Amino acid sequence: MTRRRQLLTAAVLLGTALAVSQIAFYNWRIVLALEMRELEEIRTSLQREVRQLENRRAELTAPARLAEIGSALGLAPLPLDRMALCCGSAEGRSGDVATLP
Amino acid sequence: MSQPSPELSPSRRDARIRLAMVLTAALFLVVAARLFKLQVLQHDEYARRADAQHTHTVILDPARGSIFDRNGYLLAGNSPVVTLEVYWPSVPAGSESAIDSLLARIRGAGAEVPVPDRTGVNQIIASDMPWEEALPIISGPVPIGVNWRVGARRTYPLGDDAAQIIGRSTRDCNEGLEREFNSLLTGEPGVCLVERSAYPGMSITSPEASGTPPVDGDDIRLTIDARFQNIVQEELERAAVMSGAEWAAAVLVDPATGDILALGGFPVRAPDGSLLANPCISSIHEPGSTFKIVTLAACLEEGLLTSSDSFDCSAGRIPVADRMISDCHSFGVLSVEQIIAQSSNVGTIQMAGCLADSTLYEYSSRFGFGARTGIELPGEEEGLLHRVSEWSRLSRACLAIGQEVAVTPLQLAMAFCVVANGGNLVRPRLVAASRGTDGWRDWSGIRPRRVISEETAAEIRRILTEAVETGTGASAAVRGVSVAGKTGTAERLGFGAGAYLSAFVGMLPAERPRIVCAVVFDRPDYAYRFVSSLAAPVFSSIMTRLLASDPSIALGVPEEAGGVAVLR
Repeated sequence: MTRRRQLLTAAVLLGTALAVSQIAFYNWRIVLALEMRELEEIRTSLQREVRQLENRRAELTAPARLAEIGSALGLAPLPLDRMALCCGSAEGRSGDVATLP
Repeated sequence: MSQPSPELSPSRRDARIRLAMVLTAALFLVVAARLFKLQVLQHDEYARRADAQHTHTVILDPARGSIFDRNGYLLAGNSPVVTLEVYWPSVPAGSESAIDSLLARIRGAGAEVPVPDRTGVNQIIASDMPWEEALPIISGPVPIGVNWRVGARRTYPLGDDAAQIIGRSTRDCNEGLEREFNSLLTGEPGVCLVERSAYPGMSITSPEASGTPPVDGDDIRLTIDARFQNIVQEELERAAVMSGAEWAAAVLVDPATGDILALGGFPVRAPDGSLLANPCISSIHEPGSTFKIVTLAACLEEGLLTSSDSFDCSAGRIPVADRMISDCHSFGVLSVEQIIAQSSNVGTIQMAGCLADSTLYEYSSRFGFGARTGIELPGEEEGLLHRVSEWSRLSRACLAIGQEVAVTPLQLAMAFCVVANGGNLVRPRLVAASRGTDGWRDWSGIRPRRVISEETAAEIRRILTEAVETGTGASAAVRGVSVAGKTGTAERLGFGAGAYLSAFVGMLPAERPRIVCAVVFDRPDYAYRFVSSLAAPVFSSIMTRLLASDPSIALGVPEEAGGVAVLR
């Protein structure tokens, strides 16, 4: 094989390798972009779900609803004349207790 | 005859080669110059044009900030909603049945569906569908020509209970706190560059694009307690409907900090469904006898009277200028303490006789009347407090008993906070903190202003306790807890005979108040005109339910050495 033919073969191989790597790089980039989009959709969907759950929690713990359910279950607050409150702690309110007299 | 040689002479051939080389070089130079211009000088412009051809910009909406109460309960949040639209030119001929089937599914989900207008261009077929209802529709194959987008709708889990505080945020307008803090709640929209694709639905976020993500709006934490707000609204509505009052208002305040715990109003909505302004800040009225604490405070603070000094109120009436002001009945000789407890107009006017006009005006002003409190709600009224130069000969006597002055229920509550917290006028606040990208940030309050001394405040609290235990405010008593408070009935001039305003402002526990509550009913039925039959019992009901919900309130403001409170 002449020197000239060797050079030509090397150039063709190099060109082909460059073209293949270019195509591979492009495809890799597309795959990553699609993955990114998929992850973005999952994030958005989870955010929506969090908001839905926050709203649902607020509906379930609405004061009027809790009072209604508590009354139905016989868990209405004690009458004031059946309560005694003691605060025995000088530091903060950690000693607060509520007991029946 | 000689034939010309077919071969060029060497010199001529060289000249031609040189010419060809020069032309080629010139051509390359032109191409190189053009390339330099395109690739270097105009690079940015052409790069931008290329980007514009294969990418498009999508505006990303930020999420509106949520609003929470002081305990983290969600008062205003966002719920995802879906809008579906048809671009009729893109709908292939013969596929109308697919659109009809989609419309039937949307109708089946409970949404309203318009009549298809196939001659139009763009038609919205479902607007703001709840996410859970729209999900089965959009997760399956959607007919060609139908697009959907996800938006957000504001939700208020507490319903109308706090509507007059938070307001409402819609596409068309914002009200209440939603309006006041709109810029904080809104956030900044972002930008996303998306590469175009020949296949619908296959567009991808450009990996090289320098888009900016949206910045969500800040969350806000209010000083409101949702439990208390609910109790106040329920009690107000019940009593207002029963008494036929035109409007009712109730304010709950922490006197130490000025934190508004509840701000109730009735009615909440006008007959056409629109939200009414909160009467706690927008309705002005004469305070009546509740204003007598200002006269009392001025007399005690200036050292002109003590609570044991007495006045003769036996006539039951007193002439002032060309008018006669009277009590509901004659009391005899009353001490200052009894004058306030029995709410004697005659006695209070005699007390005011010890004061200079300017002193009474100054104390009225120092208690916050005649000026906006500065609460973070739009539409606050400043009330009415005439300057001394505008006074008539009647004015001092009238002001002393709460006439010729107009106040809002919030101003009234803040004035009683002065007595409750030991003599300081605090500014009411509704927003406790906001949460941005750097976490929660507390909003500091304004430094309070001293109005009266601690001793005077304590003495007034003692007298007001007497007013509830033995005086006109007896029906405001709460079992097991000491209450200090003052009644107020004012005739509503300009509304015909028999129009009254019934008000009670109180605090508990009387020794170290944790809560101040002002309750006002405007123009109830004649049978309910007296405070003892309306405002005071409502105060008692609200406080009883509040204590049952949070018994630690009965302990009052904690002392350094701790304390004990027993409810029996």
